[in-house]
Amino acid sequence: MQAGVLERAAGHFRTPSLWALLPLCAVYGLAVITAPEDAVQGVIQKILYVHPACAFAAYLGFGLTALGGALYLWREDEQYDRLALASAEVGVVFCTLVILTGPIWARGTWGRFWSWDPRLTVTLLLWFIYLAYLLLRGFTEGSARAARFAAVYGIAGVLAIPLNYFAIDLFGGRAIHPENLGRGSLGAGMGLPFALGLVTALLAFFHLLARRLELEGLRARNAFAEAETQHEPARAEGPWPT
Amino acid sequence: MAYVIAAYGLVVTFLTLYAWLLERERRRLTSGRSQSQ
Repeated sequence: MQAGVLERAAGHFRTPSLWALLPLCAVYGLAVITAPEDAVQGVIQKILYVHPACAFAAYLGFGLTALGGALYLWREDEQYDRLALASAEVGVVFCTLVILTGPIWARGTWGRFWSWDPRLTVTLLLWFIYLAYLLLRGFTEGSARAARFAAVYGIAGVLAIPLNYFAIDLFGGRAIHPENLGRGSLGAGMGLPFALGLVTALLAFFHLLARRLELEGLRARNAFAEAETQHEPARAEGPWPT
Repeated sequence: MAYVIAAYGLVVTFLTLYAWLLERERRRLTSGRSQSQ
C-alpha cells in the first residue's frame, strides 16, 4: 500500500518546517523579552503572547479533525481519517497547553489557579470532547465502523469551538476571563510579539501534525505489509500435500 | 517573572517532549518495517 498524498506531503514538510521553526522561536523569544510591560498587569501579561496562540492552534487542530472526518465520510478514503486522528491528537496537545498556561496567568492575576468562568469551563469541555475522541480511536483501532462514528463525533465536537470563542459575549456578566482581542486592544509594541507568537504556534502545529501524519502513514503501511506476509507462505507453498 | 518563565518553560518542554515521542515512534515503526522486509 502506498502512503496517501497527505502523508507524502507531510514527509516533505517535516524537515523544512523544523529549520524554519528554530530561528522563528529565537526571534519570538527576543520579541517577548523586549516587549513593554503592561501598565496594569505588569510582566505576567507576557503570558498573553503564548496562551491565545496555543488556543488558536487547538482550534485549528479540532477544525481539521472535523474537515478530515467530513472528507472521510464523503470520499471513504482512509488518509482523511488518518488526518482527522492526527489533527485531534495535536489539537489536544495544544489545548492542554491552553489549560496549563491559563491557570499560571490566573494565579498571578486573580490569586487562584481556577475559576468556573464560562470560558474556562467550555475550554475544559472542549478538551474532554477531543480527549474522548482519542480514547474512542484508541479502543477501536482499525475498525471502519468506528472511523465513521468518530468522523461524525469529530464534526459534532467542532460546534464547541464557537461556543468557546464567544463564551465571554454569550455569558457576559458572569465572565471574568479577559475579553477577546479586538483591533487596537493591544498596547504599543505588543502587536509584534503577539503576531510572532501566533505564527510560531501555527508553524509548530503544522510541524507536529506532519510528524504525526507520517506516523499514521507508516502504521498503515506496516499493517498492510504484515497482512501480506501472513498470506505469502500459503501462496508460496501451494496446495497442502494430501 | 517566575510565572512567565513557568508558562513558557512548560510550553517548550511539553512540545519538545511530544516531538521526541513522535520521533521515537517513527524510528520504532521504520526499524520494524525494515526488519519485516
